[in-house]
Amino acid sequence: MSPAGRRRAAGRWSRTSTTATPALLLAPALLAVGLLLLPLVALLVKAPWSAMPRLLREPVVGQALRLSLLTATVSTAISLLLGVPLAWVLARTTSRAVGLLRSLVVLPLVLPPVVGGVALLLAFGRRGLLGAPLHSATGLTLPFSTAGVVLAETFVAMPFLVVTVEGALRSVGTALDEAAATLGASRLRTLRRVTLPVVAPSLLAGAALCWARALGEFGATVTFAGSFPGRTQTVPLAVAIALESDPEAAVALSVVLLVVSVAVLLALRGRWVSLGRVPR
Amino acid sequence: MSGLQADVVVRQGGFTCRAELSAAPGEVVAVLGPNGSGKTTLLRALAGLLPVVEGRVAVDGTLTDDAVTGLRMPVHLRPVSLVFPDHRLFPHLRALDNVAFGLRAHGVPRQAARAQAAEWLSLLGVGSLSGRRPGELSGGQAQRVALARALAVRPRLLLLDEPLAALDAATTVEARGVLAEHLSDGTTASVLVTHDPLDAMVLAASMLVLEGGRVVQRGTPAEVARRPATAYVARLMGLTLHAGVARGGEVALDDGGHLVVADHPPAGRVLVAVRPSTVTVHVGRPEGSARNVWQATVTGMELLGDRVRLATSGTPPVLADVTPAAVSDLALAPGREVWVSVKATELEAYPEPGSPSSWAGDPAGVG
Repeated sequence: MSPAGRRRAAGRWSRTSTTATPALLLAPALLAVGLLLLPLVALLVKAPWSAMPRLLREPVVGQALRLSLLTATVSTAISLLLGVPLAWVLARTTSRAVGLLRSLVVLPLVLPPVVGGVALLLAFGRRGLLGAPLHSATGLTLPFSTAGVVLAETFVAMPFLVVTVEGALRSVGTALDEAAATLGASRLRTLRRVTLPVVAPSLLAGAALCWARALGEFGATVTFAGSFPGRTQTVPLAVAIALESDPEAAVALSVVLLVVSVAVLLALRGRWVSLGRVPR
Repeated sequence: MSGLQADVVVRQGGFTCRAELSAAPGEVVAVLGPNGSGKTTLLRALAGLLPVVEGRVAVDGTLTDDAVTGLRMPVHLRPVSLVFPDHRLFPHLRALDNVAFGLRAHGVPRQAARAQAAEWLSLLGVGSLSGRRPGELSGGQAQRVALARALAVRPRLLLLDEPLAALDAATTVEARGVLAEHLSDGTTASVLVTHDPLDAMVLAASMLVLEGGRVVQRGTPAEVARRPATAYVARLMGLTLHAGVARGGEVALDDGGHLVVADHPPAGRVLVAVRPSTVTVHVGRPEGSARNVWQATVTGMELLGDRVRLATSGTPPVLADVTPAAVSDLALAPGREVWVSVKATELEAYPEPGSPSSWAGDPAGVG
């Protein structure tokens, strides 16, 4: 082989073996991108842009938007109040029972939301496990009420917050808690001044994920709370209904949800991937 | 009684550590030992981070742990500070607020806590860094901030767990100086865990050596350096240690060979410590007054500052320090056959701890 030929061969070998992407992977990768992005592109292309201002001013649309923002925000607040302590317990307890508990509380992550809705009915329905005594004692019924929407969204979305915050607490470990204790800080002070501030980025990320999930919740909500405009009809439910009666309004609402989702993604930026980062 | 009195058994996993130690206010006690000897376990127990399964601990006259009554004072109520090997500064707080943290926890109002924290940082020579976050500090700077944070709460007992371990060689010298300056203020008793005997020599008035969860030796650093009780301590102090049986002025060594010593040790089991600087190396059989002369092979060489330390494999095997000039004059190299000699007057022979002969100390530390 001539020196030039050898150089060419060497060049070809080193490129194929290290940097070039094999065609075998490139084709399915591109197909995957198309599969994920084409529907979103279609949504933006087909959106009735000129009619958008009018559509978004329709009372049903405004009602759904307001209800969605309200319920998603309230359920995120509840998730923070209850989910952060739960995350702390899961992260800091080493007993085997807690391991099992961890698997159970994150079950809603993989559970079909409709099943969640049915389960919620059996628990909190008028004849449910807890719903029956609640109704006979106070006259309260949760299903088919705005409170029911909040309950369904919290059920589905809280595990996102719990998993995110627990992971962060776990990776931070107890080293800083110990340091705080040796400096005279009580456990509550340590939690307030050290633990929570240190995991604050993950807390924010978890809350944003939780809020986004609650905003998009459909299956559990429609099963447990129904679809009553102004009371339980959130944006996703309104989209599903409008698709039959007023397709343009459905598309407009979908664009709104897409914009909100992209905004959440931008707000999180790299947070979702850097959750496990341990502060020095 | 003020200061620290502790006589404890601590368990962590399957490991048990048993130690008795005390430190008066202003006194620094060094705890030396190899990795896994129980140094950190002991320290964590004193801080309240691990339970004491037997015995008790008193700090500044107050019982903090008592295994009999089940007393275990919560960590945050103890008048004890702990400096961690990795410093553990709070990453979200400025250096100033890291130091003020403990003061705030003790109820000092914010402004006053910040003012005191600034004073402590200045005292430790890092006053200009008060606005930095831990991620923006070098190892030596972080160590000073960590020390300021621990001292700021004016603990009655200051625990230091390898405070110099994370630092590079140049910073260590400086940081050791900082510690020396601040560890003896008269009100705080200190326990310093280290694996560097130099830390003990510079900083501590007394030391104890832990091995396998037991105290194998205690005394002043000078005593321990002169008469190491175990091979580990001897190696730490740069000596070789040889166990044997003394009869008259001659010690028959367990591993073969014998050494003549000048001070007649009591008959029975003894240890003989050989200092590398007292060992002379010759190419041929030496003439002269040295009573201990034997043949050996050079097995290793190491440059230590302006000396070269030779490892030799004779009977007994010893370390010998020679000048770099001698290395080239005598053509010393691994594998070279040489003669080594030590004067009887240079050898330190003393009863082996734990043997029936007269050992004055309490090597097990359980007494």
